[in-house]
Amino acid sequence: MNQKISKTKALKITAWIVGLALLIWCGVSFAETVRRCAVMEKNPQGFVDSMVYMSIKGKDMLVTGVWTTVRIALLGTAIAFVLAILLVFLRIQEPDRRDSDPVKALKWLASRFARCYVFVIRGTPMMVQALIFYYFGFNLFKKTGMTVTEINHVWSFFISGLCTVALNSTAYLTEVLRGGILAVDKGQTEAARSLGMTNWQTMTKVVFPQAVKNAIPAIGNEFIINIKDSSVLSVIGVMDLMYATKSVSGIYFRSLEIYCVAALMYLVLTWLSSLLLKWLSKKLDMPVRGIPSSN
Amino acid sequence: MNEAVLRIEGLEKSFGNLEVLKGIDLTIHKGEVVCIIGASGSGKSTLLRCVNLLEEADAGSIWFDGQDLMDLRVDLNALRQKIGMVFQSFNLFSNKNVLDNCTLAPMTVKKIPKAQAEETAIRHLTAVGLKDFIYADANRLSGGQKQRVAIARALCMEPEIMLFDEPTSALDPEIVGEVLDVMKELAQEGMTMMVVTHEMAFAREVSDRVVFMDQGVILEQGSPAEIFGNPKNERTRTFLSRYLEDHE
Repeated sequence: MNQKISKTKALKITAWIVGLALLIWCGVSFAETVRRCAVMEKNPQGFVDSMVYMSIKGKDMLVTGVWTTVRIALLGTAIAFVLAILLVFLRIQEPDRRDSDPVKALKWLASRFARCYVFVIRGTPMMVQALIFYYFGFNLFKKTGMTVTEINHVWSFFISGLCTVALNSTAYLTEVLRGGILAVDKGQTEAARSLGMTNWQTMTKVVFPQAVKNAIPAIGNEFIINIKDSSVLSVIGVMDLMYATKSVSGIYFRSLEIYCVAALMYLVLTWLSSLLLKWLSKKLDMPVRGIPSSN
Repeated sequence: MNEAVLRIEGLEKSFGNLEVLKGIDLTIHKGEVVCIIGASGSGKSTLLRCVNLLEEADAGSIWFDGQDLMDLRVDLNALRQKIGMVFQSFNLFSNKNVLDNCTLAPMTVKKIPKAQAEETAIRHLTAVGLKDFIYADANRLSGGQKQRVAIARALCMEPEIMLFDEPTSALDPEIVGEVLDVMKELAQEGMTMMVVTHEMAFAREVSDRVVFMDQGVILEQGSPAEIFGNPKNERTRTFLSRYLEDHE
């Protein structure tokens, strides 16, 4: 028994030492590569060397790119969440026997509108949406008599890209929230209605808080998807990580290496985000409140 | 006999081709405890759910508080406040603790100030023996405790009538008693109650009137002594004897 424990312990310790040694070796050799490549004057032949060289030379662009990508994904998802809350309220409207005719018509229209929105947005690629939004906005501003410089200032690539991501995610998050609402037990609604609460009160006080909680993992997923999918915004010139990568590749005349760098950076971004989300959802899952003892 | 609180007339309800209620007439008087018994599928739960319009009946009238609930113009939410409902599966709001479960409706529907709503809630929770659980997470209670919270929650709206839809059917046999005791107390305090139940002992002991339903109609009704002691209808006799065989 004792021997067995010590054996597994020994094995574990060995594994740790080997792992640590490997890590240190990797770190040292990487540092060495970085030191070597930083002083090089032209793009080196070696694959890893070239990756490191271009990353160092183009680091300002890449950092701006990462920052833009993160901002677009974060802001876009946040705005989409707010819009999706509004849209899902339209989506779930159902005409009731007791409604007056105009109310019935309004509810029907609201639900139809939300359905159409989701249908169109989910059925078209985000790259096309980005181009349409950008040129639509551009033409709109042009009609007001603004010059191109002025338009670029107001309707910048960043703003139109952000709008694209936000409006695109709204459609997906609407369905996510609707799923969350449908997942709430029907008995919750029945209990609230039986107490005399209106449909609206039932929705806002009972069903929706539970639906959002149900939907939190999917909302986090949408954020991660946006980190990756915002790469298509480079077609309209948003200076995101993808655009930065393309620029660096153009300057240093090497493609495969720098796209591998971009892939790694996206991977790290999504990995960190998923860690953060895991931590967040653990945190949000309300801690069990202790039952007070009797006195 | 006291004045009628609830008068159901010619109530009919179908689900698709299935006729669940085939013309129900039933009057409940103030302070009366009426137990509705019958086999599963006889329509007794549907009848109860039609009373506060969780199901919309197809035809008939439900007179309550001088208004017909089936009239599309009545303010349903205002009337529902006065009709308490207790469900088989408790249906406590799972995003709220015990106290908030009880104060939510009084505060949002009746606009009662928080302090006053909490005072009322604590009074009712104390009465059902849950004073020590007011801040507990509703999801973590036992079935019996949940059902007692559900009763307290309904009482916080100060209803004129309480509907119980098989309140003990989802409970373990050993904790059925704690819920039935609360209901007995409520009956003794003079609450008007309409109870769909399979607890024959409760029906016999507590109710003023027992209604036997079968295939969407009321076959027989009368005092517990009449129904349990000397049922007139053959079906009632078969149902009860089968029940007594199973349970005694």
